Amino acid sequence: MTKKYNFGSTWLTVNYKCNNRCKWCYAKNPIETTNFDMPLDLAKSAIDLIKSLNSAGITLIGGEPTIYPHLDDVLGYGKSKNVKMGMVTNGRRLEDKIFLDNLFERGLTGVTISINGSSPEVHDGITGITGSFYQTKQAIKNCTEGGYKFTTETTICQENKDDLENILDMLFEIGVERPQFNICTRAITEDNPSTLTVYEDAKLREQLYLHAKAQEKKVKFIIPLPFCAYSPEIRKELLSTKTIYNSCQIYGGNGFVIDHNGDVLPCVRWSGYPLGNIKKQDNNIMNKTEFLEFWHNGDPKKFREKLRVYPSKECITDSDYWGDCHGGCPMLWLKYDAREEIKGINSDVTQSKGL
Amino acid sequence: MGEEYKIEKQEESSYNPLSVNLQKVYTVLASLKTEKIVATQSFISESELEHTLTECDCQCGDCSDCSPCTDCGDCGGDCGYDCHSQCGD
Repeated sequence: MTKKYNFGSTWLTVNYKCNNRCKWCYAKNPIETTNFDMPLDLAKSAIDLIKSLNSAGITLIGGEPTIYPHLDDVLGYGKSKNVKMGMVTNGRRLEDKIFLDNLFERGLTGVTISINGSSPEVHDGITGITGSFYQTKQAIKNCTEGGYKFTTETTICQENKDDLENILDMLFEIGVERPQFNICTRAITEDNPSTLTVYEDAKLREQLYLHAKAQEKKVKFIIPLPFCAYSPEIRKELLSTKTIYNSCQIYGGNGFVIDHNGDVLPCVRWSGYPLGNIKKQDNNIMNKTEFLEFWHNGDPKKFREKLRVYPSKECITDSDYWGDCHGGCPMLWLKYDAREEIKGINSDVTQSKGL
Repeated sequence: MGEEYKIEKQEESSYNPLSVNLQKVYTVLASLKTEKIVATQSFISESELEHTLTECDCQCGDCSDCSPCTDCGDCGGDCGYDCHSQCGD
């Protein structure tokens, strides 16, 4: 095994404008209050920095990257620097095949499309935009037919929890190979009524996994939950098939986000809570050496040291997974109490929770 | 397994913000409803902190856009690709 990249995919939040108003969105607050885009010169400087850091690639995120006015230029710049450029989008503008083709010609190398329901009633009910379902579904079809590298992402929330198997079936039918499912988490600044409990999320994930397995298909669940949230009999299978995983770049520091204003965030959910900024006091951009010093020895390191803890003493009763399970996404514990929720890996928590 | 551990106090005062930048961040960390169990050996080691992704020997290409992948999850899944579904590395 040889060392190749120093960072995994790095996120570039190019805007907080969005043409959807998804109920589950963690960025509701910046979307409502941040009305400017990442300047093109800053985006180019960020790409230069990320390239110099030997990152595996860049993922454009928002807001909604497809309404970012400099999208073509940013993709073209990334391509000129031989940087892999991915994008997370609601897909509405990718309904237009010419628009989609152009993005890949310009430099896009992969795309993740958010789909919220299997019908207009569910999907549009979540996005708040009538007609968005048909646009997003068409975008997925366009990606399949165009042979583009893509996947889908569905955020599990109160509003679609009864529609998940239908969504999965629809995506398999279109030709999505391994749909991804996310969880709705509260934002740092405010609660979100669309969230489900840790155990509800885990139970739904298990059902989805079994539904896909019955069709000899695969799913993937992003954002980690504590291992003990899953039923013991399914947990090992989820791990061995890499349907779930234990950690997140936020703990290890092997990825980061550059926000629209140059802020360096540990995760896209931390907008407004920066670890620093790629712009120095003299307004110049950090170079590679300065960033690595900042990232490995400055405030980000101190942040990770504070973060890298197990959430509950029950974690230490786990003889099989102690050291592997990191307690799930730390944002879970802004809403839920780990002292109450984590019962240890050997407990059948689904039964204890009455699920 | 068998690691020694301690429980950190949860009060916000136990945090000593190290910079103006981090005050808000530490306030968030302090508000996590956890017991904050710290293993003597941190569960993510310093070597992992200086994490380097490693190149997959199988070259199956399945993970081409987030490769080389150690399944560490550091991409958060957002890279959107199925890592090593064939090679199982």
